[in-house]
Amino acid sequence: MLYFIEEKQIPGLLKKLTDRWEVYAPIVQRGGDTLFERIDASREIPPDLLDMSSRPLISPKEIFFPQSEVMFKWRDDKLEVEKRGSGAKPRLVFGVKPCDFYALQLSNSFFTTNIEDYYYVRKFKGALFIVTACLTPPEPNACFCSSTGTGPYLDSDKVGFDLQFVKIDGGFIVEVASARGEKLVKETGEFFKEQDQLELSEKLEGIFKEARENINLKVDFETALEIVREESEKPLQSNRLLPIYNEIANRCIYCGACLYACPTCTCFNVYDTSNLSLAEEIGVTEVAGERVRVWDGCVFSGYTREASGHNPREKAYIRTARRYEHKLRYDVDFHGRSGCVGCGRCLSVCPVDIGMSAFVERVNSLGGRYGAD
Amino acid sequence: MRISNEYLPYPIKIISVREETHDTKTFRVSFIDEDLKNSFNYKQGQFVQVSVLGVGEAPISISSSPGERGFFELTVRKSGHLTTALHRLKQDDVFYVRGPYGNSFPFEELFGRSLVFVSGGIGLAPIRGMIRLVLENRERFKDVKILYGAKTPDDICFKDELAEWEKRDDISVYVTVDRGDDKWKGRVGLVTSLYDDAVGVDGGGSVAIVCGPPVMMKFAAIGLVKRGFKKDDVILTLERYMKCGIGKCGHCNIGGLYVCVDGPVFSWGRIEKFPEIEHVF
Repeated sequence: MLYFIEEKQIPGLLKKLTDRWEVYAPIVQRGGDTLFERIDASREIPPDLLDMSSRPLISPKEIFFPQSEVMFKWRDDKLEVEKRGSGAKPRLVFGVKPCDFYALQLSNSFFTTNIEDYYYVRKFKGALFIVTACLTPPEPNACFCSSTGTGPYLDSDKVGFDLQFVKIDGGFIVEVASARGEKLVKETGEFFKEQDQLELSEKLEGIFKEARENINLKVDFETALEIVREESEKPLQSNRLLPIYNEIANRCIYCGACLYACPTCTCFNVYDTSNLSLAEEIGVTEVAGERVRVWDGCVFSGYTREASGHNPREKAYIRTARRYEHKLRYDVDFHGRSGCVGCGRCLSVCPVDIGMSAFVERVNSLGGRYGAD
Repeated sequence: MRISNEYLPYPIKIISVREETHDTKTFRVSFIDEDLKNSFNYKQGQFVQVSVLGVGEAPISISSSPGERGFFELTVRKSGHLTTALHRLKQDDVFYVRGPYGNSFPFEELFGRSLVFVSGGIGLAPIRGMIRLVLENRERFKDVKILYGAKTPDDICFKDELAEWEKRDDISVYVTVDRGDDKWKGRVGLVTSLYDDAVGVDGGGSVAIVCGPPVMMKFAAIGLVKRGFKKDDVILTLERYMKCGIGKCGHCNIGGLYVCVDGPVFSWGRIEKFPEIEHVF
């Protein structure tokens, strides 16, 4: 089912949605970056700060897997987990890019397979996403979602979703692709207009065709997946990708920005803080503290270092191989599709110009059996 | 909606502390909560996540046998922040545990086979539970041999137990040290130097269970394969830096495997090609 919504109605819609949902939307920050921010029902949303065209600097993963999160606290020896009150609302994220939508599905499937991750699941369960299609790539030199099959819009024949907003003059065509999406539109009916379905659907087709043509950066992702798979079966010394891993390892400055920006990177570290030393020094009688988890990344040398000093991935090229093989081979084994959704953030944030699309091109340029020559 | 929180640890009380070496202690512990104490089951080769609140959490393998009830044992070498904090604890002190996690050593599958245990240093701890379980069911197995190496005589773990095992006539025990001292009358050399005497050339019928420092494990496994062991009959238990124990934090992964969930027990054939193993030297 297709509807139309006027652009100026969107702040009002978001405010209305806060009745039933904990709403997040992409908001321009003071420094100019766009980040997802929780919508506060008591404040007006300035329409010019609601940014539905940029690719948010950090993906919406942070709404479910925050950069830093208290797991539990203790006071003397009593552990407490912060409760989400029984009245806690499910989360609704507005303005999710198609690539990020795929990434959220991958992360959720990772966090819920085998033993569920309590902290992720309790935030993700019942969440709803309103996707905004990309008619022109927000980062023309980095976005390559058409190569990974994750954009520039969602296709209901290929993936299940609830709602997709597609920009046209004066507003958005709203594509409803699920019963949940339909329910939301019905509940907030005053914002949505019914129009001739055939006319809207013809318009959509034209817009989507143009959106596909607007993608600047295209790589042969499937071939790269095959090569990485085949080479990863070999010992690293005879892996034909070793020179590429070495080259990247030499250029990388190990800042980890690519991992933090990556919508499907979910590795974390855990540490404790407490007033223990203070208690010993000044005689505080009540010992309190908390266990915190924070984002971590496989390119850091300390990531695998053990207390004994042994470090199975001390060598930088092994860490580099790990990063690419995880995304392009082991994620395929786990999810049935690669862990790269073509958002291009790794390239955009990299201070030394390393990115997934360039890696894919380098892999494909190996030639030989794969015929680049 | 009810989701269980696997990250929450539970308090355990120290029943007793045994000094194994100058840097290694065995803690006999049990859960304070009676229900947990009675329901806590684990398999040979599994580990728990151990917490000292305010210091952190780390994986420690269970060194007792699953056949022992009402308590379990953790053998801990002092090497990082958490293990240093643990070493300060005494009888009746409390710390926290969650688990057990990981897969386990095969057991019933090995009935009727000969077993060779190869371990180095504190590496005896993760396989001690399995050894004890095998000895509790000794008639189920053919020959049982235990090969153990330590850096120096002072580093030999479970000394009393090794001495007891040596007295038995239904198993063979071989102990060696890298460097002896004035009092040491036993063998000197790496644990693999015991292979000539203890293993000879195997026709492929025995199963080896290996644990020790990474370099030792690699060469122990390669040596066994050279002597005729099938790669899948060389079974290792790996130790890795871990933050969750449930396949989420990513720290322990090698290839598509998570040591905490798919391991820590692996056959040599399954892991030898991974760079994290291949590049250990």
